[in-house]
Amino acid sequence: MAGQGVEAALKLNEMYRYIAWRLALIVPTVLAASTVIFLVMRVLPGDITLVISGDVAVNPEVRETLREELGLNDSLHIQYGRWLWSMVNGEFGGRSLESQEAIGSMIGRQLPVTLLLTGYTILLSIVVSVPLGLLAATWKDRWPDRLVRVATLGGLALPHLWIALLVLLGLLLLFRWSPPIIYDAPWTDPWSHLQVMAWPTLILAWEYSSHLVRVTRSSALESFNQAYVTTARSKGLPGYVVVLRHVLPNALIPSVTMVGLQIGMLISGALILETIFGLPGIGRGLVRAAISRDYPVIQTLATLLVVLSLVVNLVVDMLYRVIDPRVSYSVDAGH
Amino acid sequence: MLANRGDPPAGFDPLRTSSIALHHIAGALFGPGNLVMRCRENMYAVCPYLASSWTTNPGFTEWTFTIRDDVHWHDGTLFTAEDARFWLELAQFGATVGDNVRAPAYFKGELGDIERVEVLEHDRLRVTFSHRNPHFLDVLANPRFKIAHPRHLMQPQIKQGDVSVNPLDVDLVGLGPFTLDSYARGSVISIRRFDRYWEEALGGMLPYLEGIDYVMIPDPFAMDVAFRSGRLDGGARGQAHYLTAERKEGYVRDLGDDVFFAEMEGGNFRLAFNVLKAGPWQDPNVRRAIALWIDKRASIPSALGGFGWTSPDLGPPNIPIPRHFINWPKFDAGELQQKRAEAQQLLADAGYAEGFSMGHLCRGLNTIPCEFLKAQLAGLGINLRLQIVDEGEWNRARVSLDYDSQEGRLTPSPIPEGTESVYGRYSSSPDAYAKHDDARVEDLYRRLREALTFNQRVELWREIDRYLIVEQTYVIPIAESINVVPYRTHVNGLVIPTEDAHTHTDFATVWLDRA
Repeated sequence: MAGQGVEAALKLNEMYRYIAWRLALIVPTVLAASTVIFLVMRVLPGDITLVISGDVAVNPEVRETLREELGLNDSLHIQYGRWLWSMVNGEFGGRSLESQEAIGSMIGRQLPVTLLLTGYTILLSIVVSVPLGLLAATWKDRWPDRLVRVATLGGLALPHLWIALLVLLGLLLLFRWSPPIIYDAPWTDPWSHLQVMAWPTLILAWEYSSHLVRVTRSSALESFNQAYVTTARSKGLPGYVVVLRHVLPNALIPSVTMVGLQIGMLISGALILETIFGLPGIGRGLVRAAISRDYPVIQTLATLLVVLSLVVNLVVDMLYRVIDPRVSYSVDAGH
Repeated sequence: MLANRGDPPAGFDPLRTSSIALHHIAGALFGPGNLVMRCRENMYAVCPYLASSWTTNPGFTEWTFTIRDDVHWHDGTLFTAEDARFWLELAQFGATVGDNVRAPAYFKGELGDIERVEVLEHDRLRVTFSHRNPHFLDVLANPRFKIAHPRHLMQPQIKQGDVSVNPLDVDLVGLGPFTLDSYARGSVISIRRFDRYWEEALGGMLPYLEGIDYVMIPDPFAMDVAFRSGRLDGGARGQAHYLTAERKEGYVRDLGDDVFFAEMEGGNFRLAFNVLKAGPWQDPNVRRAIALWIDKRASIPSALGGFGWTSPDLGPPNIPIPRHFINWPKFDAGELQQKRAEAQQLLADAGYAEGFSMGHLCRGLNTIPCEFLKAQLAGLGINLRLQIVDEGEWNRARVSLDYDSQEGRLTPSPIPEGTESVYGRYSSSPDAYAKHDDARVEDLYRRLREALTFNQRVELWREIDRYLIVEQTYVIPIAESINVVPYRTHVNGLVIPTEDAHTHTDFATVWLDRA
């Protein structure tokens, strides 16, 4: 017993070291990513002073003074340094050049919307895709499997934008109804929130869960052919017990990996759907900032997405251990 | 409830931006004008607004305004001549505190060379120019020039070094008929009736509505769906949100008499050449050939969504008395077949019988007019290479010399003199549609500015028209587009601006008549 306790403590220690190592890696990764984002944005042509002015002719002298006022005439390393400093001194990127809003406050109101949308999507996708994947594998090449495969094929092939437009049009034509046009947080008006969020969540979840269903199905099929499943069956265990106890844990690891890998896809889908469904999230903010060449906003939001992506992947790695206790972590060899 | 195409930029600052995303809302918050405004019953005339009267000296170098004594900011502070001076100085000179510099208004160049602004008494303001400025009122009545800068709130901040303070920083305290109730960024701006607003109409004190909610809907399709399902009383103003003929048909089919359409001038569709870049288009005969070849009437269904009319001239969108400034019948009014034969001859004489290739800077926001031009010029043997760019690159390239031709869709100042910013020499007007360095154009505009009588102005304006369009063909006016905005039939009392979507956005005279 004592030996087992020591071994468990050692494993735990190893895991903490691994987490610390991964967290430490985030810093140079984010720094490198932010530098690339900064340089790419400066290489792109465009001038925010003209975007701000709108569709009118602007006195060249005024435009130059505005560039001076916005700090755009400073050398690149000074601009980058200023932005970097603002990221660590609490200003969180400074202010938007276009709207003059503090970027920290911008993120404070946009991030919850995007997190809720992606959170609902992930939750719904997991709830739906694991049972469907197992169902398809269990009934391989029979009608439930075929039905699931057709549905997932649709989810993978049809673009969000197109589905969103069809959904809106369908609701209008069939019910003379459209989702509310003002976004409410779940804690202010849950019913309105549900009506607004349901449609983009369903659209995103269709694609997201399609990936998960296919991976779960493949992994489950592989597990079905393993000796330990044959053994379990030969012991006379009921089919559902075999699936839940022996097939599911092994099928889950690739699915969890897929959850992490597809986060980027999920966020890019949110960018489009937030605009169409009028959700004031980070995706819509990022699109707007990119069009306007609002440099500090793009840099900050894109860096935030990089951090989010790294953290989600770290969490996914941690989940392996929860799903399969045999998994061990090592700083030298990854997990 | 009205749609707005997005959050207003630049902290709601009309000194910074002419964006319709701000100006659709700005009229209600800041009022339809400044000291003067475009008249509600006739937008081609100038009416008093915050100034009750004005005078000028015989040389047009001094303009003196008498300010109304019953105008209040939304926080209850009385509006005085000092406030007007603060605003004009901020627009003309910007601000400098230590190393911090605030840029003047983007329209600084249009106001003229203001030398100083003085308060004579608490209600009298004098603006002095270093040169004669007989058309100052016409310029000042531009609906984009709104007073949104309460001196008592902004001046202390500027003195402390916060030179970039904007109206949003002071909670949008304005002078308009509505006051801010709440603003959920990215979602909705709610404004409510300002009880101390001073303007009267036959129906009583303005405004009639208790309030308006502007909902941010960046996607035009989403706006259509929301309107047609009854969630909106009116659509948004702005490119892409304006209806096309096809979308309008959908509204009519689904809503019948429950919808009506406000139609207003939508800017122009032109082809402008960069003659400072080497190429066959440097030859005026080649440009003239292209002008004669294009089927302008075909552009309306093909390029402008079915709404528009063929351009009579270069005319600015809302000149005070338009018919006098328009050459009618328009240039090149002959039969298309004849004009096309002439075009081919001109091109052959210029040595380009086999045609040539020309680049065309095309704004990605609306590529259909570019496609139309490409198809049209193909018939003349010209390969129009479209360079489709996003807004960022469009804004850079249109003021550069990197391209061969472009459409040029900026809005010039609404008086003939103001159009120099889009037709003038590149050296002084880098925003100009066509890039040329023609000293004669500069001279014509100088003479126009100095003309005192109406007839002199008309004559000079027509000369500029002929020179730019026919003799040199730096610009080819193709058609004027019409912007169409849907409103529910229960929306009454709208002042629909015929010529400029930025005008009369205060909605003060609107009331609802729901059955």
